[in-house]
Amino acid sequence: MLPYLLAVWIFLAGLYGIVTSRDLIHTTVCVSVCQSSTYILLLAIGYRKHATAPVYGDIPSSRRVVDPIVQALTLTDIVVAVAVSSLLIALALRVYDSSNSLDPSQIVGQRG
Amino acid sequence: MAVIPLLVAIPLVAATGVALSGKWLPGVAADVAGFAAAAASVALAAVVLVRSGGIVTYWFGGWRPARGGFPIGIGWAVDPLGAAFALLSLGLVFACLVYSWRYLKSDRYLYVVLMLVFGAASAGFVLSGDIFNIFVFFELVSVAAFALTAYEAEESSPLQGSFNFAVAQTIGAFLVLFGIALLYGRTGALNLAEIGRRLNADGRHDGLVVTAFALITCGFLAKAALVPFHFWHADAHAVAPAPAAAVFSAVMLELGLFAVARIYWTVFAGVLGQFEHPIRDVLLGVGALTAVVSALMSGLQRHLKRMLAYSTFAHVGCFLIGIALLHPDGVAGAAVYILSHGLAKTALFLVGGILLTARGGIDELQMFGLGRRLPGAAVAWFVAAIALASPPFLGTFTGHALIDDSAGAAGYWWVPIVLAFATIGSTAAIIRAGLRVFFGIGDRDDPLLSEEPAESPPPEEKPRLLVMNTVALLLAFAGLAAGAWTGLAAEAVHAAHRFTDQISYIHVVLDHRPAASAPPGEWVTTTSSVVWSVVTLVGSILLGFASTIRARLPRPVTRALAAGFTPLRAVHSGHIADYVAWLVFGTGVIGGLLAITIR
Amino acid sequence: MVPLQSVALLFVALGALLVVLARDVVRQALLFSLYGFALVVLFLVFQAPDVALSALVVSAVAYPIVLVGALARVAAHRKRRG
Repeated sequence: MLPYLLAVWIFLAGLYGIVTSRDLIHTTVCVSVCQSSTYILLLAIGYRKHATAPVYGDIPSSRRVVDPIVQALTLTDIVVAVAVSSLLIALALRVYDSSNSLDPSQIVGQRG
Repeated sequence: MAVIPLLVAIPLVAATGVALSGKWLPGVAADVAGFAAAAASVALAAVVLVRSGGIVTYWFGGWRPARGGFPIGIGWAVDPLGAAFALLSLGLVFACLVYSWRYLKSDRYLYVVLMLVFGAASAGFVLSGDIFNIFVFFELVSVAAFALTAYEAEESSPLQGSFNFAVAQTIGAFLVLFGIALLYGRTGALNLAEIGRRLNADGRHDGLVVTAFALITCGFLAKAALVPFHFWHADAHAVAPAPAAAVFSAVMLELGLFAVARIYWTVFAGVLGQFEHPIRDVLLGVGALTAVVSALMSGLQRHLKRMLAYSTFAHVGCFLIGIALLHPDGVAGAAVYILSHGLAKTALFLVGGILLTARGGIDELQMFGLGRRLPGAAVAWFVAAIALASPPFLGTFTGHALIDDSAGAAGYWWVPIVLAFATIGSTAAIIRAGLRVFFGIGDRDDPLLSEEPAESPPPEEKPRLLVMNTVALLLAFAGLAAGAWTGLAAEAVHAAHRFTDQISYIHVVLDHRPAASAPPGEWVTTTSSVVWSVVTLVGSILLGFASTIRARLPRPVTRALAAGFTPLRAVHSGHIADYVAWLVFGTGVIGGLLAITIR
Repeated sequence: MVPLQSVALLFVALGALLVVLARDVVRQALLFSLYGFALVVLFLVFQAPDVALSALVVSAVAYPIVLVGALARVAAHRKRRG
């Protein structure tokens, strides 16, 4: 149960960070924190008690292992995260180039 | 059918090739490669559509499960609606590539790459039968879209919009991923059919299933720009280059709705079927709210792309109403509506791009009368506007009629009124802007419009106006003609019966049985639908003309109206923090309503 | 195993909070690196060594470096402006 709560906690913490953020790069880091909550949730779902890592090279195949599928999903998720985070940083830098500020309240945005 | 993965693979491979070699290739080579790849995948999508009469499966790497066995591999399941959607998105990507031949000056090959990735990923998204695969394809669509919004970044346009868009879309994706993880935890499967079968066998509709349903639905609604998840989409549409904004409006938002429908009918329809009524009410409420709010907002915009974006959201609300009726007729209505809307709305955005290229502006009042010498663009604009007004037997008429009739049969008398309100409000804004820009009719100032936007200077040195006009005109007339093709409505009803039959889907994918025979599609025009379509057409035109001179209303009236709209405007603050707060709030409300009503 | 897991969970929970609450962005990048290491440990004790490896590269090393690079660019720009 604890890992699930941890995932929710981290997700909410990241959201809190985004909502109170005053700096676009700070916001992107908070998005990464949010994203890490999904890794924890996925791994928690695949975890089995008293099981070992799903690497069959040096253990008998009868040994109880944790679910390898969620680990593959988590790896995919990390790849997605890399793409999204790097794009976000690039976008934040472009915003800075065009408006000389990283503070969203000082940048003339679109309203209405 | 072995060709199915090719229609995604060809544009992806071409995109990779162009991305790697684009720096050294002449610009024309990148364009030609883009045209060729997009055209090839359009042709393949057409073949797949014609031959996908039932449901066709394709298992990657030959990992086809034994009859009734557990699906280990990744499977695609192509049904007519999915194939038609893939054809629409690839076709529009092709049209936009042709249109933007010489539209953008900086690093054009990267634009070709992004458009190809966008088209390929959206096609993969609608054809896939694996929930994680769907998620990854949507992320690919989103990442391509983020990069496209920032494309003209050298100019001083308000780039914050693209940043907001990227952050909010990503958080929406986390909601979906949370839901997928919960479903996997319950069923141990990622294949849609297998998840559905296991949930049905399990039969529990406890907190976990409801939470997963709420998270996945809200996550995808956030990607489809439903109120209150629409803020960042309006910013993104305004910032993106016109052809990119066109495919966002015509394809990307609708993908979110497609996912909601697909996942509901393959995964949840059995286990949550007994709660059809509350689910329908919640989704209808969201759709109606979106339709009304967005129609009002579109009347307040002076930035043409932003105005068109709000008009799209109004129609997206109507699509959700069609899907939310949870009946094949409503789904069929949404499908044909999405087709004609997509064609017409793309034409409108492309005309916006023509104005930007040829006249250097996208602001309604600054451009007052400046479009007089652009007859092609003017015709495309008004034809597309009329197509969106649901005129009798043309344009979005069949979609409207199917949704109206389906709602009437289910006892929702207010649905036609909401659809008419959304159509009249959003189309009147398009007609108002067109009258001012192309004919100089009406007043040069308008107290109700929002503050003046900052917009990038025109992107172009040598405009290919002939090509651009031709593409816009063809799409506008195609959008108008789509409604005249009544056979299409019957086909859509037939396909929608297939789309909404969970048991048959499971049997085809997992048990290798042929699809259950869907009832033959039939569609008859009812008198009330013709009456409503006359109302929307006449109403749109009259309100469009009237709103060009709305500054002449008595002072107290305009002042009261402006004051009335102030809170609505203030909500659209342009701040990512507010948007994320809205995202959390909306998810909480929709999820809470679902949790209360499903017991 | 269980005590180790609890400690890792606690560290990650605290780390996330610290990252989010750090207002200075350079400090935040360093904290994120530490948080990344806590995640690596968590993945290891939850029997996911390959995920831990990629988290080690991405969350703990590469991402903070990219962040610091971006911040350095912004800072240099600010300095030039005066």
